[in-house]
Amino acid sequence: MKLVRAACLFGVLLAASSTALAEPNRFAVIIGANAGDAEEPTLRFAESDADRVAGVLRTLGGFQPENVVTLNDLRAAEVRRALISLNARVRALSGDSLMVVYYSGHADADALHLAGTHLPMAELRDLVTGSAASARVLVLDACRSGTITRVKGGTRAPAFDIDLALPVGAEGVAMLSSSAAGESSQESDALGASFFTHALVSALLGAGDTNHDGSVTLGEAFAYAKERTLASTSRTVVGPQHPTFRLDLGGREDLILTRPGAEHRNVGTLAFTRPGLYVVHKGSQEGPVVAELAADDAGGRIALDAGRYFVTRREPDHLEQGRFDVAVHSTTLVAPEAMARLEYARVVRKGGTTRNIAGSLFADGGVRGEVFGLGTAWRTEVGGRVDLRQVSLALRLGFAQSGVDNGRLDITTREVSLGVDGLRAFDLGPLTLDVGLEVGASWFAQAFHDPTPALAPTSRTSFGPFVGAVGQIELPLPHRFYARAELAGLFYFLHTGTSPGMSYAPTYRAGIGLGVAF
Amino acid sequence: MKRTLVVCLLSLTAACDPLATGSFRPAYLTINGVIDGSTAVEMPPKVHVALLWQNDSTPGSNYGQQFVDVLPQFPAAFSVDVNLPPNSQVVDRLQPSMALGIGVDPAMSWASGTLVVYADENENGKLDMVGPNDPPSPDRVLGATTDLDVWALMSGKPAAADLVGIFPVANGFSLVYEPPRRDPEPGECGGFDANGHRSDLCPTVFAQPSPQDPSTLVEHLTLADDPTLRGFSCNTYWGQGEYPDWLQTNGHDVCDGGVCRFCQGYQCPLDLPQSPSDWVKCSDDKLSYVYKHCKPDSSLCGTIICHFGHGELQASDPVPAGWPCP
Repeated sequence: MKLVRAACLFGVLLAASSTALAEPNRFAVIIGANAGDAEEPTLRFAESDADRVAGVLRTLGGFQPENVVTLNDLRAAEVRRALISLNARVRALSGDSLMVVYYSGHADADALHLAGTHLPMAELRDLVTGSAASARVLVLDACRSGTITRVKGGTRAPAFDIDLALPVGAEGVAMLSSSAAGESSQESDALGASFFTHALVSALLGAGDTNHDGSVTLGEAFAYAKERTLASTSRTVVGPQHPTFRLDLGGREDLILTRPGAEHRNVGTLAFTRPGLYVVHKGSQEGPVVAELAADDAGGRIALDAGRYFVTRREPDHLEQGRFDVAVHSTTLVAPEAMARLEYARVVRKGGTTRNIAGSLFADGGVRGEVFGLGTAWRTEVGGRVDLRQVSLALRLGFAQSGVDNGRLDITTREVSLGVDGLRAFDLGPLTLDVGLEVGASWFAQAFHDPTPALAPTSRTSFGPFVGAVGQIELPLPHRFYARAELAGLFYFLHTGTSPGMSYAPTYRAGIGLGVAF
Repeated sequence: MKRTLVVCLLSLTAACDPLATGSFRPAYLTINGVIDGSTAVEMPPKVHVALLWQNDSTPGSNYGQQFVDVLPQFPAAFSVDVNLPPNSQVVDRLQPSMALGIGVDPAMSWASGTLVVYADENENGKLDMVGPNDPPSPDRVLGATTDLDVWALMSGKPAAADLVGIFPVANGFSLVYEPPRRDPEPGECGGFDANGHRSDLCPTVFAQPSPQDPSTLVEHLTLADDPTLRGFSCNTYWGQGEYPDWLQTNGHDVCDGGVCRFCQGYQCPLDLPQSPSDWVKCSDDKLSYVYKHCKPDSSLCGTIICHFGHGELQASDPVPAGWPCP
């Protein structure tokens, strides 16, 4: 026995017949438990993770639906009963068979935490390793309360050890662990899953098929899941999560878990023509992440239910995105020409690349509403903008001129303004909506013309601040250009001489223009 | 760096003027005055002073602006900031040929006005003007300046100083004192020569008007219950007093055939009094006379229009029929 310390722990206990299972009797007990002990916070994705694992095993793994038992939100006694029952079914069979047990939920060193009840870890291990199945796989993706990162939020709790050592004589048993001792398994809100289960499911969908033979073996799946889990968690608050595994294959070939290259009911294939890191969303960019593919060479494939998918390819400094329809028993190419390169600022906001800042220059033309009765002004401006992940900043220099005839004087007012915007950007389809605040100051120069031969007042210069709310819409154009439109509501504060102290005047500003990103 | 920025901003602010708003209208001219008292039967709780722009050559154009409230607690000081130019309807100009003949800038245009004090009976904040055929204005005029004109040169160059009181003689806005008029004396209106009768213009006689310094002038007004003041709320009114009839004509009418309203120039018929009630003044030697025939002109809101006639004889001339100086 060996204790493996882990705040959250994942374990795979494999008792495997080593040959690839041609048509074995395949069974799975998939357990998901968002609720653990009373004092433990409710998990968000444990049960949905279980559903995803069950789904991919049914769809691509050759598991008959009646042989996949999904146990969500159940107590320890019910889980124990289900495992014993399945073992009884396996004992009644002849020939090779495979039993997979997957658990996602709370746990500690001694037991799984199932809706306020405990299933001792030793008992679980015995139920699996003692199974009559010729291949036995135990997957534990368990987190102790308080150690969930959120990425998983929560307060870090002391790490704990879990005994995942193979029992003596358990030939052909392999043990896989998503996290090394002392580490925490982590969930991701963005993925809507735990990092490890997400990577594992992606691997089973085809991302793990590194030799492109159409099948994903246990080794391939684990290798892929390990690499992607480590990569995905390397920049989280909690830190990198290192999946580990132990197995005793007894000299047999690796176990095939799924066959994404084969034809399956209602399933088609996305084929990736270039190497790279791809994220596949169901439906649209806002849809759930269904798979992730990290391919070092061309030819990666993922088997998916027929439907529409949104694919993002991540490069160090940019993203490429496209929509693809997957049809049953057909292959859809994820080719460069079908993807659009994402504008730089969006890349920064979206994250996932090494670029964390983007800049642009812009020029606008438009109007500024009347201020202090001085007439509507035509204006133009130039500016620069910096886009960061959470906020965008813009510095703008504007020039405006207005004229008004008040019956006594023709007043020409020229304005030079310098402002700073703090913006929050929202990417909505092809458009980007920015809302934020602007502060600045304006210098006014006024000239007076008296239509009568009387003496006109001498020219004046004035200076005052302004503040307001600004909204912008941007539309990407080819060659790094983008069109922009803006509407702002502003308050100017100035000495006018008509009243003591500062006077203020509300007004608006509207304009359209062009920008170029760099 | 931070300190430098603050200093720069403070410098900018300190060097700045107040922003002129859209309602920035510095006064062209400020007229200070005092309402000394009132003989008006009924005084409103508040009276208003207005600048009444008048144009004799464009009927119906008179209007008031620059309204100032004054409490009728006499003597009541007031101050009118004239910060709006007159409307184009009251702006006058000469025909170029006439301007050149007089010796003024053909581009010159101007307006003139006077101050009135009125009761805003309908409380609409302005002096309601009516036409000559309309019912009387709801507002009641209580007083008006008779010896002070406001002149506004709207374009061109001002006229020569000796034309003060007739044309603007200063740039912008100015004040001109207009002394009281008097009737002409016999012999002041020309006479006859060998070519026959001569009838020159013979208006009321003006003393020389004089420009006034607005900064020192205090115009005095007395309010009265005078029905003739009602004319100031009528848009064709010329003003109180008597105005010569030739002002109603355009240019110099020469009517040697005797068919004009009045004759000016040579070969005119003898200008005899038109009615026994006409005012007539003869010279001591009975060889010359002046007369005036006055009547209110309803088309000018009751403005008194007078024909100032005159005649002269040589001592050797026979006395013509109808000669008013027996």
